[in-house]
Amino acid sequence: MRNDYRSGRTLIRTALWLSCLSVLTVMLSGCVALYVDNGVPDTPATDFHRPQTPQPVQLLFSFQTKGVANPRATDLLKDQVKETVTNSGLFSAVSADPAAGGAILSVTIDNEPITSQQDAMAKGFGTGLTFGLVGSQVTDGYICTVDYVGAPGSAKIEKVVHHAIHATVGAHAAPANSTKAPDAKTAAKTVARQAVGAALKQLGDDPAFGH
Amino acid sequence: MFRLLAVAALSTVLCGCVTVKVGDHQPSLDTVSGLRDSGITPLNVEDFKLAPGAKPETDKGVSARGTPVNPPQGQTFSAYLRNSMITDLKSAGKYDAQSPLSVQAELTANELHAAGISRASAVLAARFRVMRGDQAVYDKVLKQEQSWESSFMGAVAIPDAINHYSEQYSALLAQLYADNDFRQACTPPAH
Repeated sequence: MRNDYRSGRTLIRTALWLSCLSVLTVMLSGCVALYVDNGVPDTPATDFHRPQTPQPVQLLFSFQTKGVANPRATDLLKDQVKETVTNSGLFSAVSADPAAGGAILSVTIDNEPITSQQDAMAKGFGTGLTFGLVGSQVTDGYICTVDYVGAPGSAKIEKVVHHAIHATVGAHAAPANSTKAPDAKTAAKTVARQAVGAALKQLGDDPAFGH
Repeated sequence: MFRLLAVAALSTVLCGCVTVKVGDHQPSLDTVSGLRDSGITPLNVEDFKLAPGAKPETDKGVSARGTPVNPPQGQTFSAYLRNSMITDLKSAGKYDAQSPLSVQAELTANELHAAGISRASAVLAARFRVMRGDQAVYDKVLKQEQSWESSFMGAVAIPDAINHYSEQYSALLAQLYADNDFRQACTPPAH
Protein backbone atom coordinates (compact mmCIF):
# COMPACT_ATOMS: atom_id res chain seq x y z
CA MET A 1 0.00 0.00 0.00
CA ARG A 2 2.80 2.40 1.03
CA ASN A 3 4.83 1.33 -2.04
CA ASP A 4 1.82 1.96 -4.29
CA TYR A 5 1.50 5.47 -2.80
CA ARG A 6 5.22 6.17 -3.38
CA SER A 7 5.18 4.89 -6.94
CA GLY A 8 2.04 6.96 -7.62
CA ARG A 9 3.78 10.10 -6.35
CA THR A 10 6.84 9.32 -8.46
CA LEU A 11 4.63 8.83 -11.48
CA ILE A 12 2.91 12.22 -10.96
CA ARG A 13 6.29 13.94 -10.45
CA THR A 14 7.65 12.35 -13.62
CA ALA A 15 4.55 13.39 -15.54
CA LEU A 16 4.91 16.97 -14.28
CA TRP A 17 8.58 17.08 -15.28
CA LEU A 18 7.77 15.71 -18.73
CA SER A 19 4.98 18.29 -19.11
CA CYS A 20 7.34 21.11 -18.15
CA LEU A 21 10.00 19.77 -20.48
CA SER A 22 7.60 19.53 -23.42
CA VAL A 23 6.26 23.06 -22.77
CA LEU A 24 9.83 24.35 -22.63
CA THR A 25 10.74 22.50 -25.82
CA VAL A 26 7.72 23.96 -27.62
CA MET A 27 8.59 27.42 -26.31
CA LEU A 28 12.22 27.18 -27.39
CA SER A 29 11.68 25.63 -30.79
CA GLY A 30 8.27 26.66 -32.04
CA CYS A 31 7.62 30.26 -31.04
CA VAL A 32 10.40 32.14 -32.85
CA ALA A 33 9.51 33.21 -36.39
CA LEU A 34 11.95 34.88 -38.77
CA TYR A 35 11.00 37.39 -41.47
CA VAL A 36 13.27 38.80 -44.16
CA ASP A 37 12.61 42.48 -44.82
CA ASN A 38 11.18 43.16 -48.31
CA GLY A 39 13.12 46.43 -48.66
CA VAL A 40 15.92 44.75 -50.66
CA PRO A 41 14.41 42.37 -53.24
CA ASP A 42 16.33 39.92 -55.45
CA THR A 43 18.05 41.52 -58.45
CA PRO A 44 16.98 39.80 -61.71
CA ALA A 45 19.96 38.64 -63.81
CA THR A 46 18.84 40.90 -66.67
CA ASP A 47 19.10 44.01 -64.45
CA PHE A 48 22.90 43.88 -64.12
CA HIS A 49 24.76 46.36 -66.32
CA ARG A 50 27.54 44.08 -67.51
CA PRO A 51 30.80 45.38 -68.99
CA GLN A 52 31.47 44.61 -72.65
CA THR A 53 34.51 42.53 -71.70
CA PRO A 54 34.10 41.15 -68.18
CA GLN A 55 37.36 40.58 -66.32
CA PRO A 56 38.27 37.87 -63.78
CA VAL A 57 38.12 38.86 -60.12
CA GLN A 58 39.49 37.65 -56.79
CA LEU A 59 36.64 37.39 -54.25
CA LEU A 60 37.23 38.04 -50.53
CA PHE A 61 34.29 37.54 -48.17
CA SER A 62 33.87 38.15 -44.48
CA PHE A 63 30.79 38.02 -42.26
CA GLN A 64 31.09 40.18 -39.17
CA THR A 65 29.15 40.54 -35.95
CA LYS A 66 29.20 44.10 -34.66
CA GLY A 67 32.33 44.79 -36.73
CA VAL A 68 34.22 41.70 -35.54
CA ALA A 69 34.98 38.91 -38.03
CA ASN A 70 32.77 35.85 -37.46
CA PRO A 71 34.57 32.98 -39.24
CA ARG A 72 31.85 30.41 -38.51
CA ALA A 73 29.11 32.53 -40.11
CA THR A 74 31.51 33.31 -42.98
CA ASP A 75 31.83 29.56 -43.63
CA LEU A 76 28.02 29.27 -43.67
CA LEU A 77 27.50 32.01 -46.29
CA LYS A 78 30.60 32.03 -48.50
CA ASP A 79 29.16 29.66 -51.15
CA GLN A 80 25.99 31.78 -51.39
CA VAL A 81 28.02 34.96 -51.84
CA LYS A 82 30.26 33.39 -54.51
CA GLU A 83 27.20 32.10 -56.38
CA THR A 84 25.59 35.56 -56.33
CA VAL A 85 28.77 37.23 -57.63
CA THR A 86 29.18 34.58 -60.37
CA ASN A 87 25.51 34.78 -61.44
CA SER A 88 25.68 38.58 -61.74
CA GLY A 89 27.77 38.16 -64.90
CA LEU A 90 29.87 41.22 -64.00
CA PHE A 91 33.05 39.10 -64.02
CA SER A 92 34.44 36.44 -66.37
CA ALA A 93 35.66 34.27 -63.48
CA VAL A 94 35.39 34.39 -59.67
CA SER A 95 38.04 32.82 -57.47
CA ALA A 96 39.66 33.13 -54.04
CA ASP A 97 43.06 33.19 -55.75
CA PRO A 98 44.66 36.29 -57.29
CA ALA A 99 43.08 37.13 -60.65
CA ALA A 100 44.92 37.97 -63.86
CA GLY A 101 44.83 41.76 -63.99
CA GLY A 102 44.71 42.03 -60.21
CA ALA A 103 41.02 42.89 -59.70
CA ILE A 104 39.73 42.31 -56.16
CA LEU A 105 36.12 42.27 -54.98
CA SER A 106 35.72 42.40 -51.21
CA VAL A 107 32.29 41.62 -49.75
CA THR A 108 31.61 42.24 -46.05
CA ILE A 109 28.28 41.66 -44.33
CA ASP A 110 28.16 43.14 -40.83
CA ASN A 111 25.38 42.09 -38.46
CA GLU A 112 24.51 45.16 -36.36
CA PRO A 113 21.52 44.68 -34.03
CA ILE A 114 18.90 47.38 -34.57
CA THR A 115 17.03 46.36 -31.42
CA SER A 116 19.53 46.93 -28.57
CA GLN A 117 20.75 43.98 -26.51
CA GLN A 118 19.05 45.30 -23.35
CA ASP A 119 15.79 45.96 -25.18
CA ALA A 120 15.87 42.50 -26.80
CA MET A 121 16.48 40.85 -23.41
CA ALA A 122 13.70 42.84 -21.73
CA LYS A 123 11.26 41.93 -24.49
CA GLY A 124 12.32 38.28 -24.33
CA PHE A 125 11.82 38.11 -20.57
CA GLY A 126 8.39 39.77 -20.92
CA THR A 127 7.34 37.19 -23.50
CA GLY A 128 8.70 34.35 -21.35
CA LEU A 129 6.90 35.54 -18.22
CA THR A 130 3.57 35.56 -20.07
CA PHE A 131 4.27 32.14 -21.67
CA GLY A 132 4.29 33.75 -25.08
CA LEU A 133 0.88 35.44 -24.79
CA VAL A 134 2.53 38.85 -25.04
CA GLY A 135 4.70 38.57 -28.11
CA SER A 136 7.75 40.63 -28.95
CA GLN A 137 9.79 41.57 -32.01
CA VAL A 138 13.49 42.28 -32.48
CA THR A 139 15.29 43.39 -35.64
CA ASP A 140 18.84 42.65 -36.77
CA GLY A 141 20.42 44.89 -39.37
CA TYR A 142 22.86 43.65 -42.04
CA ILE A 143 25.22 46.15 -43.66
CA CYS A 144 26.62 44.76 -46.90
CA THR A 145 29.72 46.59 -48.14
CA VAL A 146 31.16 45.76 -51.56
CA ASP A 147 34.62 47.16 -52.35
CA TYR A 148 36.06 46.79 -55.83
CA VAL A 149 39.64 47.49 -56.86
CA GLY A 150 40.08 47.05 -60.63
CA ALA A 151 43.88 46.82 -60.68
CA PRO A 152 46.82 47.32 -58.29
CA GLY A 153 47.00 50.98 -57.32
CA SER A 154 43.65 51.93 -58.83
CA ALA A 155 40.91 53.72 -56.86
CA LYS A 156 38.47 51.70 -54.79
CA ILE A 157 34.75 51.75 -55.66
CA GLU A 158 32.53 51.16 -52.63
CA LYS A 159 28.81 50.32 -52.53
CA VAL A 160 26.76 49.81 -49.34
CA VAL A 161 23.35 48.16 -48.92
CA HIS A 162 21.33 47.86 -45.69
CA HIS A 163 19.10 44.83 -45.09
CA ALA A 164 17.23 43.41 -42.08
CA ILE A 165 15.77 40.28 -40.50
CA HIS A 166 12.89 40.59 -38.03
CA ALA A 167 12.33 37.92 -35.39
CA THR A 168 9.05 37.59 -33.51
CA VAL A 169 8.67 35.58 -30.32
CA GLY A 170 5.34 34.36 -28.94
CA ALA A 171 1.98 35.71 -30.10
CA HIS A 172 3.07 38.59 -32.30
CA ALA A 173 1.75 39.62 -35.71
CA ALA A 174 4.03 39.26 -38.72
CA PRO A 175 6.08 42.43 -39.31
CA ALA A 176 4.83 44.59 -42.18
CA ASN A 177 6.65 44.47 -45.52
CA SER A 178 8.49 41.21 -44.81
CA THR A 179 8.53 37.59 -45.93
CA LYS A 180 8.54 34.68 -43.50
CA ALA A 181 11.60 32.41 -43.74
CA PRO A 182 11.24 28.67 -43.08
CA ASP A 183 14.39 28.59 -40.96
CA ALA A 184 17.39 30.69 -39.84
CA LYS A 185 19.76 29.32 -42.51
CA THR A 186 17.34 30.23 -45.32
CA ALA A 187 16.84 33.71 -43.82
CA ALA A 188 20.61 34.31 -43.66
CA LYS A 189 21.20 33.04 -47.21
CA THR A 190 18.30 35.14 -48.55
CA VAL A 191 19.72 38.29 -46.95
CA ALA A 192 23.19 37.52 -48.34
CA ARG A 193 21.83 36.89 -51.87
CA GLN A 194 19.61 40.00 -51.93
CA ALA A 195 22.06 42.41 -50.28
CA VAL A 196 25.08 41.31 -52.34
CA GLY A 197 22.95 41.33 -55.52
CA ALA A 198 21.76 44.91 -54.83
CA ALA A 199 25.30 46.11 -54.10
CA LEU A 200 26.59 44.48 -57.30
CA LYS A 201 23.80 46.15 -59.27
CA GLN A 202 25.03 49.54 -57.95
CA LEU A 203 28.61 48.55 -58.82
CA GLY A 204 27.68 47.58 -62.38
CA ASP A 205 25.79 50.87 -62.81
CA ASP A 206 28.82 52.92 -61.73
CA PRO A 207 30.55 54.48 -64.77
CA ALA A 208 33.92 53.91 -63.04
CA PHE A 209 33.36 50.13 -63.25
CA GLY A 210 35.02 48.95 -66.45
CA HIS A 211 32.47 50.23 -68.98
CA MET B 1 18.95 36.66 -36.03
CA PHE B 2 22.53 35.50 -35.49
CA ARG B 3 21.92 36.27 -31.79
CA LEU B 4 19.12 33.71 -31.87
CA LEU B 5 21.42 31.25 -33.65
CA ALA B 6 24.04 31.92 -30.99
CA VAL B 7 21.52 31.15 -28.23
CA ALA B 8 20.50 27.94 -30.00
CA ALA B 9 24.16 26.96 -30.51
CA LEU B 10 24.93 27.73 -26.89
CA SER B 11 22.03 25.55 -25.73
CA THR B 12 23.61 22.69 -27.65
CA VAL B 13 26.99 23.51 -26.17
CA LEU B 14 25.59 23.53 -22.63
CA CYS B 15 23.60 20.32 -23.12
CA GLY B 16 26.27 18.29 -24.85
CA CYS B 17 29.57 19.84 -23.69
CA VAL B 18 30.43 20.56 -27.32
CA THR B 19 33.85 21.94 -28.18
CA VAL B 20 33.83 25.01 -30.42
CA LYS B 21 36.44 25.14 -33.15
CA VAL B 22 37.81 28.41 -34.45
CA GLY B 23 36.64 29.03 -38.04
CA ASP B 24 38.93 29.30 -41.06
CA HIS B 25 40.92 32.52 -41.40
CA GLN B 26 39.64 34.93 -44.07
CA PRO B 27 42.07 37.44 -45.61
CA SER B 28 40.88 41.05 -45.71
CA LEU B 29 41.11 43.53 -48.57
CA ASP B 30 43.59 45.65 -46.59
CA THR B 31 45.84 42.65 -45.96
CA VAL B 32 45.74 41.36 -49.53
CA SER B 33 46.22 44.71 -51.27
CA GLY B 34 48.76 45.80 -48.63
CA LEU B 35 50.91 42.70 -49.08
CA ARG B 36 50.52 42.71 -52.85
CA ASP B 37 51.59 46.33 -53.20
CA SER B 38 54.35 46.14 -50.56
CA GLY B 39 57.08 45.07 -52.95
CA ILE B 40 58.17 42.17 -50.70
CA THR B 41 59.52 39.03 -52.31
CA PRO B 42 57.31 35.90 -52.18
CA LEU B 43 57.94 33.99 -48.95
CA ASN B 44 58.01 30.41 -47.79
CA VAL B 45 56.36 29.64 -44.43
CA GLU B 46 58.25 27.07 -42.38
CA ASP B 47 57.84 25.78 -38.85
CA PHE B 48 55.39 27.48 -36.46
CA LYS B 49 55.50 25.92 -33.00
CA LEU B 50 55.06 26.55 -29.31
CA ALA B 51 57.85 28.60 -27.72
CA PRO B 52 60.33 26.63 -25.59
CA GLY B 53 59.24 26.66 -21.95
CA ALA B 54 55.61 27.57 -22.69
CA LYS B 55 52.90 25.31 -21.27
CA PRO B 56 51.78 22.69 -23.85
CA GLU B 57 48.09 23.57 -23.14
CA THR B 58 48.79 27.03 -24.55
CA ASP B 59 48.90 25.53 -28.03
CA LYS B 60 45.92 23.21 -27.69
CA GLY B 61 42.92 25.15 -26.47
CA VAL B 62 41.47 28.10 -24.60
CA SER B 63 38.18 28.40 -22.77
CA ALA B 64 35.25 30.82 -22.94
CA ARG B 65 33.29 30.48 -19.68
CA GLY B 66 33.88 26.73 -19.60
CA THR B 67 33.29 26.19 -23.32
CA PRO B 68 36.48 24.72 -24.84
CA VAL B 69 37.66 26.60 -27.92
CA ASN B 70 40.05 24.59 -30.08
CA PRO B 71 41.91 25.13 -33.35
CA PRO B 72 40.26 23.65 -36.47
CA GLN B 73 40.86 20.11 -37.76
CA GLY B 74 42.89 18.88 -34.82
CA GLN B 75 45.61 21.48 -35.38
CA THR B 76 47.54 23.40 -32.77
CA PHE B 77 47.07 27.16 -32.47
CA SER B 78 50.60 27.71 -33.78
CA ALA B 79 49.66 25.65 -36.86
CA TYR B 80 46.48 27.74 -37.17
CA LEU B 81 48.63 30.89 -37.16
CA ARG B 82 50.88 29.33 -39.83
CA ASN B 83 47.94 28.34 -42.05
CA SER B 84 46.44 31.82 -41.64
CA MET B 85 49.70 33.35 -42.85
CA ILE B 86 49.88 30.99 -45.83
CA THR B 87 46.29 31.93 -46.73
CA ASP B 88 47.16 35.65 -46.61
CA LEU B 89 50.34 35.24 -48.67
CA LYS B 90 48.64 33.04 -51.28
CA SER B 91 45.76 35.53 -51.59
CA ALA B 92 48.28 38.29 -52.24
CA GLY B 93 50.39 36.18 -54.64
CA LYS B 94 53.29 36.32 -52.15
CA TYR B 95 53.66 32.64 -51.23
CA ASP B 96 56.45 30.55 -52.71
CA ALA B 97 57.40 27.24 -51.10
CA GLN B 98 60.79 27.42 -52.92
CA SER B 99 61.65 30.97 -51.79
CA PRO B 100 65.09 31.56 -50.23
CA LEU B 101 63.28 33.67 -47.62
CA SER B 102 61.18 31.80 -45.09
CA VAL B 103 59.16 32.74 -42.02
CA GLN B 104 59.30 30.81 -38.75
CA ALA B 105 57.40 31.53 -35.54
CA GLU B 106 57.10 30.47 -31.90
CA LEU B 107 53.85 31.06 -30.03
CA THR B 108 54.75 32.77 -26.75
CA ALA B 109 51.31 33.75 -25.39
CA ASN B 110 47.75 32.62 -26.10
CA GLU B 111 45.07 33.68 -23.60
CA LEU B 112 41.33 34.28 -23.58
CA HIS B 113 39.73 35.78 -20.47
CA ALA B 114 35.96 35.74 -20.87
CA ALA B 115 34.79 35.13 -17.30
CA GLY B 116 34.14 38.79 -16.46
CA ILE B 117 30.54 39.98 -16.60
CA SER B 118 31.35 43.33 -18.17
CA ARG B 119 34.80 43.04 -19.83
CA ALA B 120 36.66 40.26 -21.64
CA SER B 121 40.15 40.19 -23.14
CA ALA B 122 42.56 38.16 -25.24
CA VAL B 123 46.33 38.12 -25.66
CA LEU B 124 48.27 36.52 -28.51
CA ALA B 125 52.01 36.84 -29.00
CA ALA B 126 54.63 35.17 -31.14
CA ARG B 127 58.32 35.45 -31.96
CA PHE B 128 58.66 35.77 -35.73
CA ARG B 129 61.87 35.13 -37.63
CA VAL B 130 62.57 35.64 -41.30
CA MET B 131 65.42 33.37 -42.40
CA ARG B 132 67.64 33.75 -45.44
CA GLY B 133 69.33 30.38 -45.38
CA ASP B 134 70.75 30.02 -41.86
CA GLN B 135 70.78 33.75 -41.19
CA ALA B 136 67.93 35.50 -39.38
CA VAL B 137 67.23 38.78 -41.17
CA TYR B 138 64.26 39.59 -38.93
CA ASP B 139 63.69 38.46 -35.34
CA LYS B 140 60.99 40.11 -33.24
CA VAL B 141 58.33 39.25 -30.64
CA LEU B 142 54.98 40.80 -31.54
CA LYS B 143 52.09 40.96 -29.11
CA GLN B 144 48.41 41.54 -29.83
CA GLU B 145 46.12 42.48 -26.93
CA GLN B 146 42.47 43.43 -27.00
CA SER B 147 39.69 43.92 -24.48
CA TRP B 148 36.02 44.37 -25.27
CA GLU B 149 32.67 44.91 -23.60
CA SER B 150 31.22 41.59 -22.52
CA SER B 151 27.79 40.53 -21.27
CA PHE B 152 26.38 38.86 -18.18
CA MET B 153 24.49 36.55 -20.55
CA GLY B 154 26.70 33.63 -21.60
CA ALA B 155 24.65 33.21 -24.78
CA VAL B 156 25.89 36.63 -25.86
CA ALA B 157 29.33 36.66 -24.22
CA ILE B 158 30.64 33.27 -25.42
CA PRO B 159 30.14 33.66 -29.22
CA ASP B 160 31.36 37.24 -28.91
CA ALA B 161 34.51 36.07 -27.09
CA ILE B 162 35.18 33.41 -29.74
CA ASN B 163 34.88 35.99 -32.54
CA HIS B 164 37.17 38.47 -30.79
CA TYR B 165 39.66 35.72 -29.94
CA SER B 166 39.77 34.51 -33.58
CA GLU B 167 40.36 38.06 -34.76
CA GLN B 168 43.58 38.29 -32.74
CA TYR B 169 45.28 36.01 -35.29
CA SER B 170 44.47 38.39 -38.15
CA ALA B 171 45.50 41.37 -36.02
CA LEU B 172 48.83 39.81 -35.01
CA LEU B 173 49.65 38.99 -38.63
CA ALA B 174 48.58 42.49 -39.71
CA GLN B 175 51.11 43.87 -37.19
CA LEU B 176 53.81 41.75 -38.79
CA TYR B 177 52.92 42.75 -42.35
CA ALA B 178 52.89 46.45 -41.38
CA ASP B 179 56.26 46.30 -39.58
CA ASN B 180 58.82 48.26 -41.63
CA ASP B 181 61.64 45.99 -40.40
CA PHE B 182 59.72 42.96 -41.69
CA ARG B 183 59.10 44.61 -45.05
CA GLN B 184 62.73 45.62 -45.32
CA ALA B 185 63.87 42.09 -44.45
CA CYS B 186 61.59 40.66 -47.13
CA THR B 187 62.52 43.12 -49.87
CA PRO B 188 64.73 41.67 -52.60
CA PRO B 189 68.34 42.92 -52.27
CA ALA B 190 69.26 45.71 -54.70
CA HIS B 191 71.97 44.72 -57.18
